[in-house]
Amino acid sequence: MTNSQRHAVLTDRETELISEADLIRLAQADDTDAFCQLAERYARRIYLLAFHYCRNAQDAEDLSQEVWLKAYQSLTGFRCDASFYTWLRRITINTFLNHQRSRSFLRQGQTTIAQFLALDANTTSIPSDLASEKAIFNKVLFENVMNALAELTPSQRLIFLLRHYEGMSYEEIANAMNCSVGTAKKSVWRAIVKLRSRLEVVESPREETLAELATEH
Amino acid sequence: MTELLTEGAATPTHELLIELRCCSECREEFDALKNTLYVTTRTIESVAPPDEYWSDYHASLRRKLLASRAPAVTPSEPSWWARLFKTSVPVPVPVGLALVLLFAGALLYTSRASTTKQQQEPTVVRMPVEVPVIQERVVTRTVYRDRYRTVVLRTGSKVNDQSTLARSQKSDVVPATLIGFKPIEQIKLTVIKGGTGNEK
Repeated sequence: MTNSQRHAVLTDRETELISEADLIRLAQADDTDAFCQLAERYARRIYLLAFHYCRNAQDAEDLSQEVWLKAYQSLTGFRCDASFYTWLRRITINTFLNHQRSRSFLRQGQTTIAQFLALDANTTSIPSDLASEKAIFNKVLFENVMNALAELTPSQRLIFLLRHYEGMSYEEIANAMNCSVGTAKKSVWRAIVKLRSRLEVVESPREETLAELATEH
Repeated sequence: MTELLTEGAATPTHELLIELRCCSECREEFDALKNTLYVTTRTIESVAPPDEYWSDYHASLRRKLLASRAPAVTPSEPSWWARLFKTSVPVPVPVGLALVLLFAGALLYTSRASTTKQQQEPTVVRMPVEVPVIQERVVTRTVYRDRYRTVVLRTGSKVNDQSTLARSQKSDVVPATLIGFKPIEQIKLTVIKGGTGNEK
């Protein structure tokens, strides 16, 4: 069955309902449309991870698309031992680390929230109406956080993002980054301390924090 | 506190919670770090490009995927020397003819020059060459001895033996007379000529 024939079989409605396993199988049989369906499911997550890692919208686009290209080229080697996203995240981390070694990105400057919004100049999850007080606060906060992330080393930033954005365990991070669990923990701790000093978040101690901890415990 | 922050809220020990309640400085520090983490993660999670962005993103990704799948059918570029042989330059006929004639004339001239050079006789160049001279000399020496005196000396006393011997040696060196002496051979001197002007 050729791609065009297969594509004719897969109508839009069917592709929406098709399972991830089926999409993977079709993509492994060199069906680009099926792979694009898979990419649409995870593209945002990969893009945002890349964006927070390299702090530049254009670099993030290039980097995330490189991840998808690599995934497409090595999809035949994917066995369903782990989930597709776990496999994809592994490729993402390797791609990031390769870029970190070659330093082929790191364009000058970083994307500000205004530039980020200007990607379409219409809507984002942050309200585009920057006149409102909340929007201005968000803008300032976003830029402060991006500046604070810039203070971290690429490795610290990646480990921090994997832990607190991706929600990976330290064992998973250590495996992916080829380091010890202790190193991963230290990196996260140093990242938090650096972020604190950069963001200067000083807040009166909140009783609810402890109460929250106690209940979780 | 490090463990509590890095491990998350799932593993605080009872002792640590008590310490945080008792130590206000520790609690402040912990709260500041926890709020930092909260602010950072919430800010990171809250930002995303708009929906319109994704249509362009997926379109460009699809293009890249299709481009990577289809092997680029680019004919292998010929090497520079192959291109050199295949390249043609438009030249007017008179100029071309003139160039051909010029080339033929040059070929003819060079071939003639080489043949005339071959026909020339070899010239002899005379120049002095320094050769080392080996001299060979044969010297013949004629020695005369007084046989009678030797016989007398042998029969004489042993006391005078040494003095007699000394005298006889003396007579060996200087012969008494050279009258009637004819050397058997003369000094033969062979000189190889052709060396430097000073040598004979």
